[in-house]
Amino acid sequence: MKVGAAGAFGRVRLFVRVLDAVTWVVTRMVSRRGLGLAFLAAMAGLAVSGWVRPPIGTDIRSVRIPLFASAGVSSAATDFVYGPRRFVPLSAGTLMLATVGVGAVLVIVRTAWLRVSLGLVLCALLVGLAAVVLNHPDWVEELNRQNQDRRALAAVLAATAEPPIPITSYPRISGTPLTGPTGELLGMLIYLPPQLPLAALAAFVAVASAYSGPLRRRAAAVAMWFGIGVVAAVSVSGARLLAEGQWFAAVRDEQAGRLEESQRRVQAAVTRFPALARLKRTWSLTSSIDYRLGRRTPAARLFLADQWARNGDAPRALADLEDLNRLGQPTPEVGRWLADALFQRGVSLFDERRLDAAEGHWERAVKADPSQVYRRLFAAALRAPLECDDANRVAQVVDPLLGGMADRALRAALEAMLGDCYFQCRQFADARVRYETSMQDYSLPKQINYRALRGLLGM
Amino acid sequence: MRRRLIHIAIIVAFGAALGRYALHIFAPIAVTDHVVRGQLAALRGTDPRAKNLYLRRSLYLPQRPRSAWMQVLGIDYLELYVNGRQVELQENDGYPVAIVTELTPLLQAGHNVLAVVCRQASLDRPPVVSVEGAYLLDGVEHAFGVDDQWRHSDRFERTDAYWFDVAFDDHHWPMAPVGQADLRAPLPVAREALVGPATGRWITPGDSGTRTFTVRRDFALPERVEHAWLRLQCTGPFRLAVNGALLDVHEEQLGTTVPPPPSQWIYDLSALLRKGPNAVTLAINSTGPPAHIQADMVAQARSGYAFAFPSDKAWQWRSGIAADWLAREAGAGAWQPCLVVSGDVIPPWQSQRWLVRTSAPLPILLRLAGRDVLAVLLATLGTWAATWIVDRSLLGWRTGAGRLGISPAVLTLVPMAVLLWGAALVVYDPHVRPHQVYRPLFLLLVGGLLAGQWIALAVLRRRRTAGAAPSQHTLGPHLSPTPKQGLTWAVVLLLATAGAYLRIRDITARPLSPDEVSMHRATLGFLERGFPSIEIHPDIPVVYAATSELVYCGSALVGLFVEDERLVVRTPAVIWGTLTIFLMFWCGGWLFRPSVGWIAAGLYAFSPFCVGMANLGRYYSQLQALALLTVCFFCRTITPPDRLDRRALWLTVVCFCAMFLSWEGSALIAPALMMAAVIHRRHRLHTILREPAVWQGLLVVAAVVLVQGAHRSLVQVARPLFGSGASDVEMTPMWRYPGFDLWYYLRSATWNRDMLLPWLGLGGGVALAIRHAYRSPARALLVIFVAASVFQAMVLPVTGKRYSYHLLPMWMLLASATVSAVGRGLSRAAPLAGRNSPRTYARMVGRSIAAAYVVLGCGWFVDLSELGFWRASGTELEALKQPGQQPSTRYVVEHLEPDDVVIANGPHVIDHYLGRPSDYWLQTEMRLQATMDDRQPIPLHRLQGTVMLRDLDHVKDVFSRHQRIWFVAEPAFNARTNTEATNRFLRGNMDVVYEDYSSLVMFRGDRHRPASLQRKNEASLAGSGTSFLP
Repeated sequence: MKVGAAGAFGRVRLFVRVLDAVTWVVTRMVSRRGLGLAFLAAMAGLAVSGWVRPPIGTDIRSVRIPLFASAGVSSAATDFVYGPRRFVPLSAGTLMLATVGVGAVLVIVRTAWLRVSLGLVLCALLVGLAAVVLNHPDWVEELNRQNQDRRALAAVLAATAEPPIPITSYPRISGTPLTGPTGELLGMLIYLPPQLPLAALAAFVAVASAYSGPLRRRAAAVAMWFGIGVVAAVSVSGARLLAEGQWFAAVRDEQAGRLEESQRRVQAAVTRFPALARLKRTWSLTSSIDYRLGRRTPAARLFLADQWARNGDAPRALADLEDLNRLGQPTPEVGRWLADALFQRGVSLFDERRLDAAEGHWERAVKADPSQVYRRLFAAALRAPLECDDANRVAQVVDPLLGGMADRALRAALEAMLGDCYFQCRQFADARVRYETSMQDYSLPKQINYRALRGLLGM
Repeated sequence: MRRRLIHIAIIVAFGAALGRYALHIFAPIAVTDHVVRGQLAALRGTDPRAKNLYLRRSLYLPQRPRSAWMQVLGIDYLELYVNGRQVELQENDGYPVAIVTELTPLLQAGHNVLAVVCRQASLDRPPVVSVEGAYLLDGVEHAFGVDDQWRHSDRFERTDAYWFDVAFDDHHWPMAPVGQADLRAPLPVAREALVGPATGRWITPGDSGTRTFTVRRDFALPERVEHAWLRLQCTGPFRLAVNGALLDVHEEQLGTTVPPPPSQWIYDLSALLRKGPNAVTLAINSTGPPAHIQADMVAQARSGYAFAFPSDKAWQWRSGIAADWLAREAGAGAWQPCLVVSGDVIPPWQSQRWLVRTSAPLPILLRLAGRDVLAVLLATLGTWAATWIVDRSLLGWRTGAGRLGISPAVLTLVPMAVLLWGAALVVYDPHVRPHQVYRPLFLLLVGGLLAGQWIALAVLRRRRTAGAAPSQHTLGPHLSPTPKQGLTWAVVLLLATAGAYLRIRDITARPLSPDEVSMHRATLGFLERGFPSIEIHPDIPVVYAATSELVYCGSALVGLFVEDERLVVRTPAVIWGTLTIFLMFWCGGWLFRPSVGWIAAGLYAFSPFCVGMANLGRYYSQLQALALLTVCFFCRTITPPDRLDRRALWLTVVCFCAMFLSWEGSALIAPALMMAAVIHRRHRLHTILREPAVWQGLLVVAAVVLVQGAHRSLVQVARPLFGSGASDVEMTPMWRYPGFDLWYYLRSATWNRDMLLPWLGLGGGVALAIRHAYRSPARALLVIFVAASVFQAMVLPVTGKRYSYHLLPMWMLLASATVSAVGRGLSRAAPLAGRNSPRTYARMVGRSIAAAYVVLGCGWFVDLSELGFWRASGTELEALKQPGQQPSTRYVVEHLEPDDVVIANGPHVIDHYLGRPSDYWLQTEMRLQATMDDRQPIPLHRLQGTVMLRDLDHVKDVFSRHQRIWFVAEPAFNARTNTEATNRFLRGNMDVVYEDYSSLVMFRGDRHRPASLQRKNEASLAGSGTSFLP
């Protein structure tokens, strides 16, 4: 009895000690230094996470996003958006990591320096955000292109399946639907993942909390660090802002009929920020000016090709673009625009139910610009319902792309499509695997993956 | 410093309100108040219970009219068809809607048919339609409208053609009775711009070889413009500029040989034209034949005089597009009068009219913004000067040492600022038009009130009384016992009575929703078997409720005393909703101060969203009351400076368990509670972790959660379920899914039809949490509300406004605390030493702010649903909401014969009203979960055991085996659960025999439609652009 009582007493003491230890740890964690370090750790986590969310592909981590715009080759944007992505030493992520490291050292050495370290982190975050949002307009154009592809692919998958796949109507990007690749000034905002605004808000709150005293004093401290951050951010992305100023003036000049002046301003904008030269809007304006001035330049032909495309005369527009592409004029980027035109024509033909012609145009689009890898899926989606002999032929096109696809809804739809394809080919074991993968990828209680579910129940 | 800031804030707030108000009266930017209205003759149906009014009339025209238009006014929902084609659809539940459209391109020589449908979506407002129109033949206008030519029906009908088709034989439709109705609906632009014949002549440059040219029309307006519009038609690509600002570009055909489609573009120029010289300029660049232009431009002056500038010889042209084409003044160059072309370049029936919604160009926006800023600045400076003078000359108040508090003259601005800003908000109520609010008389009234207050304060100043020290209010956990306590409770009782009346008023107005039907069945099971349960099928075990078990106690208790099924399921919700009014008052007083409780109770009692939710016989109201109690007791638990309040802790445990058993998802509030505790007691964590009662309480909660989970699992494995459904809800990392919205529950949480005032309250709550006497409870409530909303969005795989309804009281309390803090801050900042009157006055001002917030913010008295970005949906009170399945089923019962087959979209609802089981459940898309019995491999309805028609072949088989088939459909739901092919088959083989709100009965009797007729019908349906059994 005594032994039992002692044992129970011992267990209570042990429990109390454990509680004490837990209390000690939790108290340290929620102390000023502990909270500061936890916040810095969270910011370090943020620094290595994705800062740009493509509509289909995986997130682009901040350590792979250059701080400054590159004046290099035109494939830079597709490399970043489609991969392979490389580590960039001078990137938004490395800047954040360095600042967090310095901040952590400051906090460990002296808790009172927490406010300085948090202020620096806020500045680094603002600089990183400015770099991501403003310094890569060609990425925005590429992401817009992928956004369009995603919507078109969802429509094709819905039209080639019975029942349709409503889950593809839940896109990863919730911003305003974009109608064309334009590379607008703040176009990157809709591709920022939700944790970034949250982190920025948290950084403001953290800086305000790090200071003591009345609200006025805290607000002044936040304003001071915000001001420093804004100055640093403007210094990183000032070239783009100045170039956009020139661009705005160029557009106004063009509207007013001052065409020569407008052209000079476009040139000035491109000189100040060379990445603008890769944007379609730059060439749309330039070609419009050339046409209005009556010049017979490749740019003027580009304008006419665009006009024919807008008026539904796709063959004429494509012929002009192919000519220009052969010449590589007025810019090497014309090959991508040809691919876009071919792709759009394919979508129009698909809407008219001219499936063979649509498939042909999509294949030509892939040849014209092989970097747009997801466009290979369109022809596969067309072939899948017709494939009765060898489903692996379709799978060989789709499978290599599934791995790099972060859009769960689209992935689930493609897996279900492959499931149907295997089912038709009477490869039931493979079909089951595909349906199950599709269900794992996407099925929520009120957003049901009907197609895979029906496939599984049909088994 | 602080006093100065308060002065500046009040003066700026008043100055901004005054400047804005004065601008709206004396120099409005543009009239947005385009309405069609009046006490009008209107067409009605013969059956007052009918929810749909189908109208059609024939119009015989010997030739195509040069102009024809039509205006249709109704309530809730309107559709207009002309010659079998849908022209326009307008929908705004609860409000009048209007269609004003040009018919010229749609009418043809010979027989034409106009068809209108109006659908009722409001309670007790049967469909009513007012029609007006005219057409021009040989220069003579022929009017038509509400007359004896309109025939009507109350259901979607079809013979060999659909009801809106020209070929439909409507001789069996009775004539529509005519009555009167007061209708008033807004239009986006002046009515004359949308309809009416073109008065401008076709013009072109005098030189037939000119392809690129500029056209301009200079004109002077002797007075300020009330509204102005331009209707323009051009046969070439053009750019349009008004007063030097580019307004629109239509150059899609530039450089091609494709002619622009014949279109008339309508522009609202109200913000662009001004008193004095104006210019409209067109730059035309055509590669085809020379462009022709036709334009009508009207500027309505404030005096009522209309200035018209149709295209004619006064319009000038110049060759080429010079660099100065945008200039406001005509530049150098040979401007010549345009050549007027006789006849039509494009016949009027070929061109379509389009309203162009352009934002004003940047220079004009800047000019208008500058004007606004100037007005606000002048008003602010004027206010500052006036208060300075009044303070010194009238009230004897001066800044300096020994003078505490803010200036009385400035204080008097507060109620006026509230009044003016309130007026600015009220115009967003659809029932209020701007011209009713922005009136010089009201401005005079504000001035008079302000002067009156100053005089009253001056008089009071002279009657100095011995200054009684102001009462010291303390923040505390109790309602301070004051002599006014009786009055306090009387007011709360009044609020609760009003709230209860609003909740009881429409308790039986709507039929049961599908969930309520299930709840009623489970309640009957409770009374029968002692536990909420449903018997689905003889071959399936009885299904016991595995979620919200506690909710059925209330309905079972009510079920002992009343028979009406709606009362059985909804009475507990009404009681909980009314009880929550008291709880809001009590919690507000307990956590903050009694004034917070007053405001919160007022907001809650009149909130349309809360009133509506209390009329739903589900768990929402009960859960909300229990969640509020849990949070309130939890805050009390962690508030004491040393040890936790054990009594409050155990009350928290009890309330949490009850809350969990009302809806399991509410347990997601637990991490938020923990976070609040850690933040609140972060320097005294040992008082939590070493408190045995905390661990005992956690054990009790864990035991309840485990037992409930085990019960749920047992119930779910008792029968096979196929497919996914709400019963599969479990915590899921939602951030990995597309469409993840972290802020969903924060964005969607509101208690009225706008989010502006709730968000202002929440913003104030954040400020209180940072530094204020209320910061302790404000911080706890803020952390709980925000963290629970965010956490719920992160892990709950279903989204809906109703899932965060239980968190709403926290937001209301925070907003109420903000208002109370503002009022209290004013009353504390107001004293003049030795004088009581300014403090009393300041207290009254504070209370007026609270009253204004409740009146404007509760959503009952003012409906701010036109606030655009801030608009919130789903809080309509007067809407029907539930599909009329009950009258539909009653119709079937009245006509059912012994061997008839009944198919339903929702058999559990239909069977409830039908009095016998329906035969089939139509679901050819696997959307809802199905179950199976032990005998046959046929999918059955999960709640009713009805056999599922799983595909089109199955449907065809039923149709081949039975002669008479009924289908009780809910069209919107049917579209989600059935394939297009199934719907096409049903449309082709069945007729609508009865229609109610969002519900219809289809019947396949002796008349089977031949395939050719089905195909023809389908083609005309597709051509019309309408949606029938989608």
